[in-house]
Amino acid sequence: MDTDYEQKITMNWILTLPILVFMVSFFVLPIGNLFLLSSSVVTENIFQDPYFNHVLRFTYLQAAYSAFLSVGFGFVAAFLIKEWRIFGGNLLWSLGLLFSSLPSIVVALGLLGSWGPSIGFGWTGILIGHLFLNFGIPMRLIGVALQDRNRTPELLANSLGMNKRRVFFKITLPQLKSSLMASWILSFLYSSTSLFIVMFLGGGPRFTTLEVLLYEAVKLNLNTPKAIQIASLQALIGGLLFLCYYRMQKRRVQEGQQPRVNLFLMEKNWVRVSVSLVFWIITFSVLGIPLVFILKDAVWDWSSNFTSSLLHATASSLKIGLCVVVLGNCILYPFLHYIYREKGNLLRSGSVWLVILPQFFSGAVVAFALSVFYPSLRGNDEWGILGVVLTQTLFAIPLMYFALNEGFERMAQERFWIAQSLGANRWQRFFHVELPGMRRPLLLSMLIGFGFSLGEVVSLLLFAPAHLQTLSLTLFQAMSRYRFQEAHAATGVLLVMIVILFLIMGSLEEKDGSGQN
Amino acid sequence: MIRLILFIQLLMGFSLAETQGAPVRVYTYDALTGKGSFAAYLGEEFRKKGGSVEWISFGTAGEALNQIVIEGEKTRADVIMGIDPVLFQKGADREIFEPVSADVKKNIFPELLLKQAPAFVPYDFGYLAFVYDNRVTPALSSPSLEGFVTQIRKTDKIVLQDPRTSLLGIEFLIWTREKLKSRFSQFWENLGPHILTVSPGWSGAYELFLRGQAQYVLSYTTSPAYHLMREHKDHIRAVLFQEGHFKQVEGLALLKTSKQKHKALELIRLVLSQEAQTQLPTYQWMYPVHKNVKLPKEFIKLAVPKTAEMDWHRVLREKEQWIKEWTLIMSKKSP
Amino acid sequence: MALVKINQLKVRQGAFELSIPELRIEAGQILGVMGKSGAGKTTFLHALMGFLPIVSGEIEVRGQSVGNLSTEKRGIALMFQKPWLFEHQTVIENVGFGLAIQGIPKEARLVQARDWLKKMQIADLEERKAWEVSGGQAQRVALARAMAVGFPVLLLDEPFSAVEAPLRKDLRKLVRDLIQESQKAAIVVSHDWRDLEELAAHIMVLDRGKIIANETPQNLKTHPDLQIRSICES
Repeated sequence: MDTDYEQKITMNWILTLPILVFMVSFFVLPIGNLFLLSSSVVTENIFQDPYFNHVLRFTYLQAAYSAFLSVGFGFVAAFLIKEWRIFGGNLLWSLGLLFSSLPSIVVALGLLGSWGPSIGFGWTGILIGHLFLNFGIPMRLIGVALQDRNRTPELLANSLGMNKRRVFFKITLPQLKSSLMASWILSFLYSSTSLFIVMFLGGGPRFTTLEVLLYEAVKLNLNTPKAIQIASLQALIGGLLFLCYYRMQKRRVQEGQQPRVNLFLMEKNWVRVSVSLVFWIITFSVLGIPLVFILKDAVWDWSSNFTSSLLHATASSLKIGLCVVVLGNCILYPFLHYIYREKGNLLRSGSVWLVILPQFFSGAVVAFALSVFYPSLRGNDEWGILGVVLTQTLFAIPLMYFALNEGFERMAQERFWIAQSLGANRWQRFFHVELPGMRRPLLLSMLIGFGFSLGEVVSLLLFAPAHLQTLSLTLFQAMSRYRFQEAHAATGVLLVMIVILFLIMGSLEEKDGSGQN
Repeated sequence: MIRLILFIQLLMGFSLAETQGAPVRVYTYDALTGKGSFAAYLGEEFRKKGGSVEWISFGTAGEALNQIVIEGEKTRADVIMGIDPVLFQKGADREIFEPVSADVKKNIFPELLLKQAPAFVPYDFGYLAFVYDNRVTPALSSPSLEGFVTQIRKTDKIVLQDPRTSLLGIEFLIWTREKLKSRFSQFWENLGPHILTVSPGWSGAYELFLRGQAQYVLSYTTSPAYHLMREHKDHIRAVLFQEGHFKQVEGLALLKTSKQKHKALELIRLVLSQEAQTQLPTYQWMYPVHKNVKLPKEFIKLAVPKTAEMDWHRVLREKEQWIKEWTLIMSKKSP
Repeated sequence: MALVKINQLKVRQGAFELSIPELRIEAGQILGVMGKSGAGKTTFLHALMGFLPIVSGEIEVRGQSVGNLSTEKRGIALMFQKPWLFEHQTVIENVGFGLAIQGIPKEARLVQARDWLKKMQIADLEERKAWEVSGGQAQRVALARAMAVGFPVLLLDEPFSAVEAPLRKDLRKLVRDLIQESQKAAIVVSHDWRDLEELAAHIMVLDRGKIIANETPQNLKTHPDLQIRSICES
């Protein structure tokens, strides 16, 4: 039988096997193993350690404060950009994404450089650091929800005499509830698993989080049982947050036919200008100055002494980044092809959760879980580099997924049917229709994966052989030793590469809208 | 052009060193390495003898040791350099060090050797002290450890090293614990508000001090000699305590897993040679261990403090508990 | 000779069943397919193309049973309401797509493709990128692409719905003339009576998966069954 509608079971398994094997082998099993070990290997109960309890309290307290701050700032920014159309709104919209993509050690460096250790260390530095990195997420989530909300009830209520303030609190805000909560959950998650902001801006044992404690247990104290307990606790909380987020996504506001009228648009120009000015002054003071310092110091502190070592580090970063994106695409692409082209509809709705699940666990937890499950990855040789690549790929895959998935979603099934009707077999359709159409999404996903790999450090700290130097590792080591000049030089190279990546991605996303049919 | 070729070579993963025979690999802390460092000097001298050294640096000697433990049998390290007796014991407990014959160590001051640990090879020593800039910070007249905290200004900031990662950090902790005993907690609670940050290692802490972010940094009595000899500045001073100072002995050790013990021993002999030990003070800014070395005049001028005696058996037995106490105290008081 | 023969065809999609007892389309003939939403038009189309398995019965194209063959081997070229041109290709490359799949050398491909573009009266668009042409032009390119491949059967699913009214008349005439000239068989699925009235020799009316009429357009207009007349007039 040679009909197209017969499931080619072998082919389908070949396409789905890479991601299943990868996720099970390098995520599910290691994390599951952590949970199993946490009860059997441990000899002391960490909850009886008063210092651990202090760290636990601090971890989630600072995460909660950071999340409130990020959501608060993000909400105000989203409202001003989307509803009041403040000047420079589009720039801030784009900057939010850029800030979220910066390596957190770069941000820590900027904050220390701009405010100095007296202000930079402690609560202030940690909260501002998390705000810097995370505000883009709530700003976008809430901004999109504001854009997509049903405005009709607002207009009706207003026409029946309800003033705008009441409309906002009674009608608009309830529609934003799930996006507000989803943003809070994500900001909380990222702040609670933050490593470098706390490590460099904490200033000592008082301001230490579970993530830092885990890093210390693994890398500095070599206390594996303690590390297992900490990692299991982190993994459990990450899993619970994932479930909360999943439920939030299910309750998202449905899109409807939107009236074009914006009830909250500020008509008085002078108010808009004043508010824009105040908002930008605050934003620049809090977030802009560190960024300016980062850029200034990157140029100012450059010395030819660093050139050779930075060249070496850049080459290693490029090599590792290339491995990550190639591996990531080899795993992800066949899976998405299966879902979209081989009628894998059953998996489509569940697939995104399988792929993004690692995002809800911290890098240190996942890397540590891998190192426990596969001890030979922690070695002073190429196995160590494999450990780095595997961990980075696990975290790059969710980011690459969205670029690839969008590409597949945009590819109309009809084109494939037409190609088929013109005599093209499976391979011909793949090479002549699918691949040309997926060129940009593939490139975009590679750039995203590459950008992530450039700034990632945790996997390098746990797995990298001693002789391996990358840009991010150089930056981390320079930061640890307060060698600010060297840190600035490494930051400069990193920033240039990230900005180039951003520019290419931006131009790719613009060009992607050119097709008409 | 050369850089371009190097870049392409690096991209291809080609390593020049591998084609010339394996170098002796030394894991150490970063302040020992780099341009114009003691490691650079040793590397050059070793090259003249037909050998080569690869220095792999970490933030602290503690990290270097941890890395060796993590790497296990697969470690490429031949020697670890920059450890003190406390760190040495951590490695000795895991049986990773190779004993070095007495013949190699024959010129070392006997009191610096560890009789029960033939694998430990001292190469320099110094005395812990708080260092300050007398242009901005007034001198204190021979305070005690506890007096130091009460005499410094309310706004004065100190940078310390983390005892969990740094030699100086753990040694300062041991020093305060041994000397103050039951008053240890009170001392650290009083010190707490003055601590700007707890740095992972010496170089980071000193960098912050030099940038004027802190008025005091935990360093060595010999640190002023560096500023005097290299910068011709005599405003950097050390606070001298009545009770004496902790004597830090820095050493190196040969690893059992080394595949070129013979070459590594040659390097160790070089480190302990009279020539290298004569150069050591102006590289490391520490005292040499060789009995017959003449010190530079700037070193002779420095006051040599009393040595604070330690009960090492108790130290090794209880230091982990002391670190736990310390982290608990530090978690309550604000930096 | 009937180019397309369907015999006792049964197709199932979920709970819906389509049943076609007998159907013949001669060379040069166009069969129209009409029906309300859910009547089975798409199911019929998908079954013909091989996107759905058949439960029983036979589909023959040019005397060969194709019911068990994969879509690319059935010899039925497809055209949709939207042109779905291959965006990364030029107009002439789109038209020559089927010929390239058959392994026809480039020069020969270009000659044939140009020929078809001339017939469509869009020869001047040959080097334009697919996304640079207008809707009406793109539909002509899609038609040329479906014709150029040389398959005996052409299946058009609402081919004129997205085209502006003034252009529809021209396109209808073009399709009719091309099918006649090339002696292919064509099946046109449409909601628009005017399309089928002008194009089709016979119109098959479907309702709930069954053929309720298979008549000439004239007979359908005056059909005694009110339901059939209302489908045609809607």
